Amino acid sequence: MSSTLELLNEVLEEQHTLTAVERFSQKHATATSPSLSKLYEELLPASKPQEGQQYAFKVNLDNCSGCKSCVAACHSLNGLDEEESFRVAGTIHGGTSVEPYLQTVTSACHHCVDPACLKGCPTKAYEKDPVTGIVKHLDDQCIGCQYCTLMCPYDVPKFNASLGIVRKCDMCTQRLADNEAPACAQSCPTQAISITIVDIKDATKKAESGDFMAGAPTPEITQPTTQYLSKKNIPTNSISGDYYDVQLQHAHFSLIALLVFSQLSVGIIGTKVFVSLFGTSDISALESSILLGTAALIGGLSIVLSMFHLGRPLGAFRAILGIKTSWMSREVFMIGNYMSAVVTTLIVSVIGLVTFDIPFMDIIEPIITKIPLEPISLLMGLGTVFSSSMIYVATKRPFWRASHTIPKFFLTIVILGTIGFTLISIALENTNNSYLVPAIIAMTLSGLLKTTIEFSTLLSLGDNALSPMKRTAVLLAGKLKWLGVLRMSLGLFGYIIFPLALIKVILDQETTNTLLFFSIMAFIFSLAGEFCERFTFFAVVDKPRMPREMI
Amino acid sequence: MKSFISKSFNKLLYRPEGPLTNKLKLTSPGLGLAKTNVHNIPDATTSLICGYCSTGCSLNAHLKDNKLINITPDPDYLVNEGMACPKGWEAMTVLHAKDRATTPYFRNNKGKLKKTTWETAIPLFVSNVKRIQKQYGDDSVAFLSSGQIPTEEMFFLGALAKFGMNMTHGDGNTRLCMATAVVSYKQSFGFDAPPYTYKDLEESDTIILVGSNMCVAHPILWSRVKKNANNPTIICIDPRKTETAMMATHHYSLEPKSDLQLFYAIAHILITKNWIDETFIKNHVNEYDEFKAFITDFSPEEVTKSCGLSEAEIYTIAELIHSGKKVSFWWTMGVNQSHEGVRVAQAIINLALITGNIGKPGTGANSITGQCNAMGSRLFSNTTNLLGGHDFLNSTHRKKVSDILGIDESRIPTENSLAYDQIIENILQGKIKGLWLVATNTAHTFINSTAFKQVRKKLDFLVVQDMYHTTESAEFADLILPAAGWGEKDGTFINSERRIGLQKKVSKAPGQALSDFNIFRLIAQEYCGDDVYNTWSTPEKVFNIMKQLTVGQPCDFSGIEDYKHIDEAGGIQWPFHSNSTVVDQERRLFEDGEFYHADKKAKLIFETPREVFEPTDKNYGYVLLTGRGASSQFHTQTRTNKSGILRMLHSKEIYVEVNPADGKKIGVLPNDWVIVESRRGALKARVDYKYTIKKGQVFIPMHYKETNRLTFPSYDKYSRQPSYKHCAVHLRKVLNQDEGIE
Repeated sequence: MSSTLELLNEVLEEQHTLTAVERFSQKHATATSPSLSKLYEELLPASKPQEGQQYAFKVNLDNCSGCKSCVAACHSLNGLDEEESFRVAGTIHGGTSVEPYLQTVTSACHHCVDPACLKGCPTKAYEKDPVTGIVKHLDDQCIGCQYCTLMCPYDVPKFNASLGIVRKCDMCTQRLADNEAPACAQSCPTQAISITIVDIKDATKKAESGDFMAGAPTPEITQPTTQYLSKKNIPTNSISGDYYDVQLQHAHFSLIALLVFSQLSVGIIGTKVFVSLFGTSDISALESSILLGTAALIGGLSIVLSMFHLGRPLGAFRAILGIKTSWMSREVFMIGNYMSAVVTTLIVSVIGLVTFDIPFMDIIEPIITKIPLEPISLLMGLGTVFSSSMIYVATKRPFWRASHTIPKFFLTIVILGTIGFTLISIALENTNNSYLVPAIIAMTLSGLLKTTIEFSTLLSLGDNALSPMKRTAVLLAGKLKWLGVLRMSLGLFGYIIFPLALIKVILDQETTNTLLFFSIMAFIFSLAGEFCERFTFFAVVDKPRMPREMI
Repeated sequence: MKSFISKSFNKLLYRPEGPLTNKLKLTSPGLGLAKTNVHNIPDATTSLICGYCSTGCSLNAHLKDNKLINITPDPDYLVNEGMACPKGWEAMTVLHAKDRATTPYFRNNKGKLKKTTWETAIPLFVSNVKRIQKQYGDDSVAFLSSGQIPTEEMFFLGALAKFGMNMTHGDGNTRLCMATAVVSYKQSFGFDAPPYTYKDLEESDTIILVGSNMCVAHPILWSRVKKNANNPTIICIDPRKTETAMMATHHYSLEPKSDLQLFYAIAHILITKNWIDETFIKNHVNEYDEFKAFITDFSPEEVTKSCGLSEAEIYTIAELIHSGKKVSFWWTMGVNQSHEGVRVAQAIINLALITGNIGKPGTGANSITGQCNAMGSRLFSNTTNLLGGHDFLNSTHRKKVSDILGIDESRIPTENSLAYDQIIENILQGKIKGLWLVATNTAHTFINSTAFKQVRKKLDFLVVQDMYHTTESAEFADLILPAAGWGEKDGTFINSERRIGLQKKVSKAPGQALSDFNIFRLIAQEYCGDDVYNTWSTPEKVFNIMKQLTVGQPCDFSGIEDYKHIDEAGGIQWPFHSNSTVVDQERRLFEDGEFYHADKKAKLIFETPREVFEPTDKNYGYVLLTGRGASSQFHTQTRTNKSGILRMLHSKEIYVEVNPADGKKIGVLPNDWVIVESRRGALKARVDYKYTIKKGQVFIPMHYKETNRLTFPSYDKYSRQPSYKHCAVHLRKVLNQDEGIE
């Protein structure tokens, strides 16, 4: 054994000694240009784009054999993180048994004429180069809100959780600057990927005619510039490899909380304004302050919780920069205004409560009381909720269309606002108010209307093709069936049983504790119901993307 | 002041640059490389041959302070000219996997695998082998190795096991992929000699691909086809409409395993129409008259009934072969993994021989190999052949080998090894009690894999030598020896076109992992003590012995000086004998029309086709085809599933491709789970509706461990290669979502 031991030490040492560099000659120690440059010269355009033109990827499908080296090379040559590549490759297939069709489709950013990522970005972290047309993401400007990942119809920008930002393809701008082909183009063994110059007008025209790539989402939203070429007839029934994968999407918990709580907050203000305008009995100053305080707290909470959604929350203050184009910036702007208005209203209300003298109050008070602070708060609140809904409407995803999203969000205001308001009133033993019963009835009716809208999505189950809405419906009726049942039960108790019981105990003039019990139950159940709905809102939406492999 | 404030404010609001942007900053590192991430700049590069498939691409290892930091394709190597498939691009990632074996493991009394040291593991290995050999005889311990390790390691293993440890039986996983090509070449040409160079792909005007999904299985070879300036006719013969079939100019979707008849029918047409090269046949081919008589039974009218092609289609193929001036035939696993693969391969060889399409640029009957070093294994694994393509049964050969190795001739077995399936069979019969697996994953790959559990039970001692301690086979082992992987050791590979290329140690193996070469040294020391093996201290020394062994053989490469010579030449094809001076970089064989049989003629070999062993019937109504899934998957995925990028490039879950018409018949929708069962086992897979698969057939990629539960253990009777690509299965819908298969 002793000789084996000696040998063991020898081989362990040998195993950890690297000598390849010394032993073999260095072939390119003095090379100044990349050895492959000759090979890819023809993959690059000879000149820069002229006015009205831009760079674009050109993919010759007839040359693409499906090796997918482009994806691996993008990752490797750009030094991306594990499982990160700016290119994806999938397949489309179709045809008939006699003439089957199968084709690999490689795609990266399409450097769209009208990039949705750029429009949606609240921090102006995207720019479209005026000369090259390349849509570039500014990594340090990004706060990781991920709105671009919802806006892009091709699933191009990807959130990098460890960095807290989104990253995407910039057509290897740094390589192009030195006449080097992008990583994908220079690594393609069959030269299927190249860079070309397109006339923007042509790209727009092509997109408007719906001509892009089989199995890919519509080009009409953003006008992608990538040119897919093939001499073959691509069968019209060609579908992406993942066409039948109906997958749940990530539910953004902090966004759910932001939406539900901000709408609850606005709802309390709204109900209060309504009662002040149309109610027959007054709300006491104390009650008013408590209502305002609650609305302010919940509104503040919604903002705080939304911060957890950001990859880099410290940059959140930049979120207003995109206000010209981004509904997210507008939401941020509106919620800021809303909170300022509510807090001001609250301060004024609290001032009314104090008994000691406040300096200059006699000057300020007449001015302040003339300002309709509460209606202003409400307007700001409604503006916030409208902006919130437009964030999703703007993605053009069918499930998030305006006719569904706006009613859903506004009905949440009514439902949670009325029951929240009722709960506070009862808690303050203000049980004889004539507005309680109408408020509860409004809540029940809104709840019924809202659930009807929600469940109307199931009608899409009858669609023939696996349309985006049918995918959503399939998830609702399938993987998320349990949630639908839960949501239905919560609605039944939260909108109907507890509210009706509450009306009865109010009319029967039962004790405050009984009233409190039923109002708390109605509130909790409807709040939980709204959370369920908003979870579903994110989870079952169909995410358009470029062709992929089967799961 | 105002501008200062607005400047600061702007700076706060707009951050066009910064640390995150810098993460993706690129710079030119020189060294002939493309721009590279600034955080990953190498100070040197050195090239080495990729360790996956037999194409034998060269990759550049980027080194920084002697640490491997990236890998890119080598622009100067003729084989791949700066290109690589995703496996090559990701070759480094898989070295850093968390489940690398970094120490030996042994199974303790409680049946658990526990970490141990080399000091314990080596004596444990040797004492167990000796114990079993003492009790049951020397031949009761066998080894199964791999086409994934360098030739020098195969050589060491084969020589140590058979001449030092007195084993008789050993085989390699090359049996599962190349045995058919070996036997067919040996019988037809007189030596296992793939005749081509890759340049032939560029020079042909007619390329015929048989049972080869080259686009996916050998993407870089396909890139050579794309470089062909002759606008070649590309004929793909495959039951499925594969990626390659899509790219071909002609696709013929024959019935599975009807290829032998098809090629005989084509020969029938060529001979009847006199579309043959009579002069070549007369001077260089034997058995022509017998062949001519034989194929009269295979008229297109007759064959059309069984092969699924019309007479006109068969005629078209023959016409295309006839009209081509430079016709090359290429085959892969669709032929090799067949119950009569040797005869199918020879039917292809026959077509090349009778039309004179051999020995000239752009021609040949060319088998594309599977593994990176299958060709090395074929010559030097000391399993089927005695070292250097010699014969155990030939006393002159034994004498030659013993002289060069400096060992007593009596140490060389005078009988042949059992083949892979026979070794397994002998384990089941209790004759073989100890098994040593080196760089292979039998529990996954072996046909009818469910039976492996039975095999394990019958074994007294199972050793698995592998990079990872998590392979399906390692989980069954009594002892795991941690091996260094590709890139962590020196040695040579031989690629499909007979090119000897260099592998270099460019990365340190993790923990205590050792190269297979070093493990063999330790075992030799412990088992044999003072012996010839003590002098085999480096792979390069063994390479020198290998060179001497090839003298006088068709594969003579004794003209190669050393590793440096190979490196500087950009790989060297055999033959390269000692008086070779100029390195012609892309050479083909048989340019003089002389073959390796004693009379220098090639032989036409043919035989009546046999029925498949398990035809479909009422209960098992579908033919199961298996094969490559995606270019990012290799074999049992032992390595490829360690890379996140490679995992992104293929389906994550096992799927079965079903023709939509069949899917409807079975009552399954796309993406439904379906149970696929054969008489041997069952698996659960997702249904993939594809028109690319014909009615009555289904396809499952081989990479998923469940696949071989279904396959039928039938073998080509000459090559003993398993017929993975044909068995009868039944499909049924999964009714209960949680229904499992065990």
